[in-house]
Order: sequence, then C-alpha cells, then structure tokens
Amino acid sequence: MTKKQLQFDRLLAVFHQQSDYVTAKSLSEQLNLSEKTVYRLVKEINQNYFPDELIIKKRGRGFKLNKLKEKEYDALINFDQNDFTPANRQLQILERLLTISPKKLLIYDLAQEYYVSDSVIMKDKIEIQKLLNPFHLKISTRTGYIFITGLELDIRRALADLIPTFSMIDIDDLSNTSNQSHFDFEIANVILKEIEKIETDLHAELPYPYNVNIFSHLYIMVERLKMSNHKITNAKIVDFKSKDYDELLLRESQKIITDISGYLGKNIDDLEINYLYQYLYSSRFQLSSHQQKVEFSMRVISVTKFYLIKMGMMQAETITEQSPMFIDLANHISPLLRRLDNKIYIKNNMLHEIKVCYAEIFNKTEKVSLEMTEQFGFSMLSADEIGFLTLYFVRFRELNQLPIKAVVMCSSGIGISELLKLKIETTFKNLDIVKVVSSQTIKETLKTHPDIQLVITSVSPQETLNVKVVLVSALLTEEDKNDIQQVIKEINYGK
Amino acid sequence: MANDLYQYVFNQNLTSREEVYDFLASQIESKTLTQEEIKGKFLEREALGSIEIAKEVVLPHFEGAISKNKIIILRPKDTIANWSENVEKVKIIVAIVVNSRVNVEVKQKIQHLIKNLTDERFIKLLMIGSQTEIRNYLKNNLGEKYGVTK
Repeated sequence: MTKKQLQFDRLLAVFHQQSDYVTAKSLSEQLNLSEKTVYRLVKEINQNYFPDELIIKKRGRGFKLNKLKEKEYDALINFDQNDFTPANRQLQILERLLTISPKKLLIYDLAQEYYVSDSVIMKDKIEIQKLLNPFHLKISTRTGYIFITGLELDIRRALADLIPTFSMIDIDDLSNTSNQSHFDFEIANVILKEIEKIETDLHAELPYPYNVNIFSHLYIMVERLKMSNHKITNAKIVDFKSKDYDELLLRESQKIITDISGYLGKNIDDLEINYLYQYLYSSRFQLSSHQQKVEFSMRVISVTKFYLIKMGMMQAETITEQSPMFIDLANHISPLLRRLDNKIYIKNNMLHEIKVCYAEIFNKTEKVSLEMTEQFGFSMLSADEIGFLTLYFVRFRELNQLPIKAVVMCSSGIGISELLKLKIETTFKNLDIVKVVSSQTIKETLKTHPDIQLVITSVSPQETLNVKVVLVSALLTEEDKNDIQQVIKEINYGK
Repeated sequence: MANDLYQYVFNQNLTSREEVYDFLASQIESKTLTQEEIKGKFLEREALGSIEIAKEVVLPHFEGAISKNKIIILRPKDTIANWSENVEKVKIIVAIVVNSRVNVEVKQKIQHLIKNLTDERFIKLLMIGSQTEIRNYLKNNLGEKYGVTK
C-alpha cells in the first residue's frame, strides 16, 4: 500500500468513528499530518466521487462523511482498501476488460461500481489506452459499452505484464501475495499443484522467474477459458511430427491441460497444449548437477560466445565451451533464444534495481544484445531479458575480478597509513594495497603505477587526483568501511 | 641504536594536548628543529586528519629532521579530557618520529608495532599493563631479532 493510500485509509477510518463534523485541526492532530495535507486528501477523495462528495465540508465546522453515501462507503472499505486512487481504478478496469475481452462492460455499471461519473470512466479509457499501446491492443466504446480488442496472445501478454498480481506473486506462499480484488486463490492453488507435478515428474526445479512465468501463463489461460472459448490465433505451432521436440515436456503439457480441463469441466483446444509446451520449452529447469546438459546447439554456442567476447569476459581468462561460466550462460541463453522464437515474454521484478545498481553493465548488455539480434537475426530483447542477462555478467565479473589496486596515504606514510593498510587488508579482500605513501609522493606514485584505481587516505588530499579517493579516519569506523565499499562498487560497476 | 627506539613514559602529569606535545618535543633530539617547531609538526599533522587510532588512543607522528628515530609510549597519570575538537578522551599516546633516512630495520619495527596496535588485546595492555608486560608482549610478538626489548 502506498503512503498516500494509507493516508486515505486512515482519514476515512477517523470519519467512520465520528458522527459529527471534525475540524481540519483535529484531523491533522489525529492523523499526525499537516492541515494542508488534510485538505489535499479530502479534495483528492472527493474528486473521485464527483459530482457527489464523500466528505462534506462546512465552513467553521469542518468535515464529515456524507451519510447518504455511508452504505457505499461501507461497501468501499470492504471492497478494497487500495481503490481510492484513479490509477488503481484504471488498473482494475483494465484487468477486468482484458480478462473478458472481447466481451464488453456497460460504462454505466462501471461508473456505479467505482462511484464515479461516466466522464471519469471516459478519462480512464485514455489512460488505459496508453498502457495498451505497446501490446497493439485497443480500448473502444460503443453504444454505452467499453471493451478491449486485439489478438489473443497480445491480450495474454498484456495481462501478464500489466496486472500487478503477477509481478507481486509469492509462489512459495500465496497468502503473502496480494489483496488484489480479483485474485482467485482456488485457481492459483490448482495451478501451483500442476507446477509441482511438473517438477516431480521431471526431477527438476523450475526456478524464478520461470515458475512465475508459467504460473501467470496458466492462470491467465484459465481465466480466459472461464470467460470464453477464444483460440490462440497467432501462436507458432510446433510440428510434433518433426524430430526436434522434447517428448517429456510435450507429455507434461498434455497432462496439465487435461488436468485443468477436468477441473474446469470444459474441453480445451489442443492449441493450448502447444502453447504451454512452448512456455516449458522456453524455461530453464534447475537440474541436479549430474543431469546438467553440457551439449548445446550451434546457435546457443555462437550466441553465448558472442556475449562473452563482447562483454569482455574473455580478456581475463580463457573460457572454453567446457568452462563453468560458459555452461552457466549457455544454460540461460538456450531457453532465452526459444523465448525469442516463440515470442514469450518474461517479467523481471528486479529490473529497476538492476538498472540502478549495475547501470554500466546493464547498458553494455543492452548494446551487445542489440548487436547480437542484428548479427543473428532475432527480434530485440526486452529490458526484462536484458536485466536477467546483466545479472550473469555482474556475477562473472565478481568471479573474475582481480583485486582493485589501491594505495593508502597519510601525511608521512609512516604511522597511520601503515595502520590503515593493516585494517583495510583484513576487511577488504578485494583490494590490493600496493603501497603506503605520503601525501608528498602520491602524484609521483600514481604516475609510476598507472594501474592504481583508488587512494584511501587519512588526510585530505591537497590537490585533485585522477583516481577515486576515500577519506577515512584511522579508526576505520563502520561508516569509513561503507564509504570504501561504495567506491569499490563504483569502480566495479561504474555506478 | 636500535634498542633506544622505544621510550616508555608512564604516570606523567599531563593534562592537555598542549602539555603532551610540549613534553614530546622535549624528548626529541634535533639539530635543526626547535622544540616549538617539533610541536608545530605534530599539530600540523593533526590538522590534516584525525590521529585517533583506537578508542582513547592517539598516534601523533611525523617524518622530519630529527637526530634519533623514536617511538614514545606515553601514559599520562590521568585521562586527558577534550584532547581536541574531534577527539575527546585520551589515555594513551603512541608517538612515532623518524628522520627521512629511516632504515629498513626501523621501518619494520614500526610496522610490527602498528600491527600490534590493530590488536585490541595490545591496546588494553597499553591502558593497564606495566612497562615490563608491554615490553614482553612486544618481545613475543616482534621477536628478539628486532632487539626492541633489550
């Protein structure tokens, strides 16, 4: 729940306990907010209930809840505590329309349900269209109805990508997952059991993000099947008569679709088997080490090599096709290429953090990925995919990393710097303290040792140095250690 | 002479940084530097960055035109309150002064002392131990070959 949603919630809770007017001052004290914030919150809440007001204002007396709306308010708090912002309402409408697409909803009904006017729903429509654009889907209105149209695969993709439930899902414990209004725990549990069956049958684990990906795929499939009988119209059909398919995975796909068909009491088109097969085939199973395949197709080997060379991983050591690093990356590249073949999208919940923490490596991976797609003729990788790849290179760099060459500086280079050197060497194994120097000789040292990247000093440097400098105390406090760690990160990841 | 490197001064009646530096300056021999100048060297170093190396322990030091390299371990009679703006209490002063022609042997001895200064047990011993105990500790840790305890 966002901070603002929490504020809405608390404000309404106060009103709910009071029958008379409450002054802004009293509200501000009870909620520990400024009076200005109280006014702003009231205004925002009322905007959502235009033309009526949920909170009535009376000059000189303050605010109170609209008694006529009391029933609706009760319904509201039971409905969902997150529903007060327009963005949340739009997401909910989006989810409902996507799930039932191409079926329609009455605009009037939606407006009633969310306590807003028809014109607010029309404004929502514009915002929803913006979200749908990347998926080539269209939201339209006709004779009082609102609906989304587009290809089945695009609708499923949009559901998987846009609906927060799927990015917040906690596969290990569904009860942690969400208070999403439309999340069906029964279906979720059925699907989780199916995923467990796959893992048992294949003696392999389906790690994150593949488990979430398959889960979302199946959940959306069931939701869509419950609504209608839409066939996937643009899935690439795998010709199972041709030799190159995984019989085990096909059998699993058939089993799961049969199970779900039984659960729903509904026939499911064979196309869904095909589609699920593609998902499974595009996932990476965590096999125990003796099961781990070390044979890869030529294109997987070529693409893996391409990445390792272009990302500069071959410089520090010779990597052969048998190297653990090569196998590790190829094990990721193999299903990745299948995802590109089958246009299967995968969501990366850590994307934002990856972009922030490893900006330099992420950008480089993005650039190399573009070159890769051009050279090998694939469609461009999504940012989510690039994020996952980035993590491999971050890890490889850490494994491969030579210690950062550093010097410790002090005024004379005899006392504190020696002490610091000892303390730093004990704490930071990834630093190689080349020398202990005095501030008089630092420039000279940097000239003769161009590989030095870091100066750790107990005295403020009198002139600017061309390398990173951290000023620490001889005590080497926790704060000092954090500062050094931060600079090491900056050097390693170009943050 | 290597065995003159260490000097232990305990229970001296010193109550401020000023008095400590005055005292240290009086113990350091130099043909070219006056006592005031030696004191100035210590203050100069401290102005550049904190010399506190452990809780209540400071390490004043400089390299300059002095006649004899010296390590003075000083434990004043009472804790010095308000040593400086940044350092509050001081119980132990380990002063190191060397000249620019300092040889490898002395350097090694200094390094070994400093290694001990990163050890909390040694710091504790500096606070409460007798001169002999400290000597012995250094002897065991530094080894006879450096001749520190003779």
